Amino acid sequence: MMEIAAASLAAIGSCLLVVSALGLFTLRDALTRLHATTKSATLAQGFMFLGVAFIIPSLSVAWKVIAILVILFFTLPVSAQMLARAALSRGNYPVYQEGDSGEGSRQLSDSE
Amino acid sequence: MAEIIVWIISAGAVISLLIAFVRLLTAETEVDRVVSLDIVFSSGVALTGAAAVAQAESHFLDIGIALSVVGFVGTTLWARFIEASGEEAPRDLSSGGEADETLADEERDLPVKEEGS
Repeated sequence: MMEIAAASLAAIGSCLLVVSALGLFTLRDALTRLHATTKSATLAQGFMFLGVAFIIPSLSVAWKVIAILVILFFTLPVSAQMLARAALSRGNYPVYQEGDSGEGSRQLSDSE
Repeated sequence: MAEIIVWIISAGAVISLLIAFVRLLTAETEVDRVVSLDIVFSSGVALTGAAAVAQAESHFLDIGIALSVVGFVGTTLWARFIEASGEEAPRDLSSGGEADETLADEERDLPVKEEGS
């Protein structure tokens, strides 16, 4: 039962990692592409290391997995904020397009 | 069952590593390169988890801890370097890009937002 849970957690994590790598190509501007490395990659690594901690039931693995996840959760938002400031200082402003109501609509115009 | 988990994690990590390398070679801006480098580091940390499962050893997770810290320091240094070396763009960030003359018109044209639509 624990093995099935670990395998499904690892499968969810690897699928999310592939999706976040594909998001580098499909998202539309530099500030939006930052979501791929901050949110979905963090979630993917969280699922993967939970799977690792489930398949090896020992205390040292559990502490190291907790350490990795805490380090990731604290460092990735900081680096993403600094990358966003760098992107804005190089002139990579967010791109608004037709049909963009500013409330989360994702339509793309004909130019893309 | 452990072999299945090793194969699952390794396949996802290697596929995302290849995609991120292709993006690293074909990116338009510097920030995209740094973002894809961050995905490369995430795949490396995932591969250390796969190695820990394959050997049933917890020492590989120490490499994962060190690799995540190194990735954070590298990303931060690249961000500081890009920000320090970019002086051709206007630094007035509060105007939201209206002072930028190099953007195309269709990119700069904000649609007028009607309230309640």
